[in-house]
Formats: sequence, structure tokens, C-alpha cells
Amino acid sequence: MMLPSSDVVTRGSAAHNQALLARLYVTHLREVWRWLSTLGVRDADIEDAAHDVFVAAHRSLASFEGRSAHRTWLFSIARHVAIDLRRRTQVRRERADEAPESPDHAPGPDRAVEVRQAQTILDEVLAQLTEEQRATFLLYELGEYTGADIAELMEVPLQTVFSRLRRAREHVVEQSERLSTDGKETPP
Amino acid sequence: MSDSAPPRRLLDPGAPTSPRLRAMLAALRPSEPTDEADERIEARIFQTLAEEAAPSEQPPRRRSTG
Repeated sequence: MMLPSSDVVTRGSAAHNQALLARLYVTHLREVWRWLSTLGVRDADIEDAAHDVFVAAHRSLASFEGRSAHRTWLFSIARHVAIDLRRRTQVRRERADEAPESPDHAPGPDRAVEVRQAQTILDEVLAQLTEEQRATFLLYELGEYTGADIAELMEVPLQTVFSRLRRAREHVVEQSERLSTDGKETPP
Repeated sequence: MSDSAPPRRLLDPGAPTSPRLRAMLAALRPSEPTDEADERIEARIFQTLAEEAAPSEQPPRRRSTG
């Protein structure tokens, strides 16, 4: 990346912030992508969402006080971007049928159908959870983060992570069984 | 289960989860960025920052003809 090193520019200056953002990008892009994907951002939307995360981070660099680690701070931005995108997608879906994923990112047709169906069911099942329970459930079950890692990312005690997780998975298991039963055809 | 004990993942084989739920969760495993996606995002971010940094162009004032 052709940007000045943050060591040779004034702290807080535009060049310093760009250099810092470049470093954050190189260090955290893969994980930001993983967070977005885990939190339910569709493959076709992840590039836009990742762009939004780093641009939002750049805008907030001046007010970043270092009270949390860069990783935790970026996670918080990514979570808000994912929440915002999900709300906008829901509104779009209510107005019209969802457009197919762009061919550049879409998995194979069978896999795409499978993923879309799973996403639709899970969206429905998770809709009644709080944002915190939803994120905890997805990070643990799909992202394979440990409880301790989720506690660090969400800046809450470990006990809170496990209690959110317990409530979320009880709900998911119960609801998915209900959906599964509802979907079965009754024999004549 | 105690409140502090890490629960078993629903995706784990042998976890008390319906096969349908396990299959659904497995289908949603997170993706990874390709190198091309990485380059595209990076280019777009710095293009956005450059556009934001550039002074916004003011439309030329119309001269009064009267």
C-alpha cells in the first residue's frame, strides 16, 4: 500500500490517519470479513459492508481514544454495519422479491439455494432475539469463537456471554423444531 | 449446565441438535475473502477517502443578466 508510514507524519493528521487505516486494513480485513459473514451479511454484500466498516473507522479515528483495542472497536463498527444492512435488506425484501446474488460472489446453484433457504429460516428464527443474543449465538455457533473471545469482542463478562448463548440456543432449537414440524406434509 | 461452563456447539457431532438444524448451520459457515476481493475493497476505500478529502466543487455562480 503506497501510504506514508505513521512514524513519519504528525499524529492525528490526515496522512497519519490514512497510514493507521492502512495498517488496520492489512491486519484486520480477513477478520472483519469473517465477522460480517458470521453476522449474516450475504456474500454479495460483504465487499460493500467491509468498505463501509473501514470508511466508518477512518471517520472515527479522530475520536478513537484507545479505551478498547482496535480489534474490539472494529468489531463494534462491523456489528453496527451488519445490523444496519440487515434492516435495510428486510425493508427491501418487504418491498420486492430479493434480487439474486451477483455471479461474481455467488456459490454454485445448489449451494446458493441451500444457503438462501438456511439464511431465510435462520433470519426468521433469530428475529425474536435481542441483537446481543443474536450476535453471541452466531459468533459462537458459526464463527466458532470461544466464549472468552466473544466476551472480549463484545466487552461483556464471560457469564453474560454464556447466559445470552443459553437463551438464544434454547429459542433456536425450539423454533427450528417448530418450523421443521410446520414444514412437514401431513400424510393423507 | 453451570452458567460458566462452555456449552457444546450445536454443530458438534453428538450435540443434542436436530440434523436439520445442524445442516442449516453448516450451510451458513462464514466465507473468506479472495485476494481479488481484498484488492477491490482496498481500492474502493482509498478512492472514497480521496473523494471525501477533495474539496467539493461549487457550481459556478450565475451572473446576473439584469
